[in-house]
Amino acid sequence: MSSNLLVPLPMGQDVIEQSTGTYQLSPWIYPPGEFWPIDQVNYINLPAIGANAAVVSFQVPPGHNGIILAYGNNFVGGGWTEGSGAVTWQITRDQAAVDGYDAIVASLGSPASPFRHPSGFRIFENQVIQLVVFNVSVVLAGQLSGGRLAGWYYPKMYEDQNITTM
Amino acid sequence: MTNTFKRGDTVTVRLTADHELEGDLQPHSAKFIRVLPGQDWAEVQLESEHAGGTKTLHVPLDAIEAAQ
Repeated sequence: MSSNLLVPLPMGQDVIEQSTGTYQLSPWIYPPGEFWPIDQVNYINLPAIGANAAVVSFQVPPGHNGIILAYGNNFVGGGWTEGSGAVTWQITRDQAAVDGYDAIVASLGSPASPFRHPSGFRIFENQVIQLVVFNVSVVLAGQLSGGRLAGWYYPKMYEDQNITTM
Repeated sequence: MTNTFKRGDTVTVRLTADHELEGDLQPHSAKFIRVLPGQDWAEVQLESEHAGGTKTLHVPLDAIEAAQ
């Protein structure tokens, strides 16, 4: 393996040409020059007991896939404690929970300081991506829930054409 | 507000029919479970199940009264 594969390329250079052929850097690790940033942040009123609501919601644009690398969700107000399960969150792709983010019982980072995931999770063309809050048992008293999802889109032409979307 | 209730005490929680704090408040019978960190809110267990399927609620301490 060429040592080139371990070193990020200069800005705007996405392809390594070697004597053995052309190597395409993974666009979800090294954003290509045509990348498009994602940074969705929002706060909403806590929904009623037994109800859920999307804090952040967006659709991946046609012709693009992407990666979410940083996320945050939090609770502002009284009546909830970390880990109690009285309020939970979920991160979804087309209403299916991303593996490991089905019933989040903690604040994973404030929108002002989102958690940076080591690898992130990938998102695909036309998928609706949401951070959803579910009020299990907290009486409403003006509380808010905040959320943030950040990463980037890249043109689908850089994608492995054999990939199966999640 | 200083809590005077103990786990298992029968209490009355004043909430609307939809279990909100503002509106037509009605007494809801419940068991006191615990005070939440911060000391302003508490966990109670209602006698009757909420429409959403939960009996446990987090409510402000000042919405809780000793049962008559």
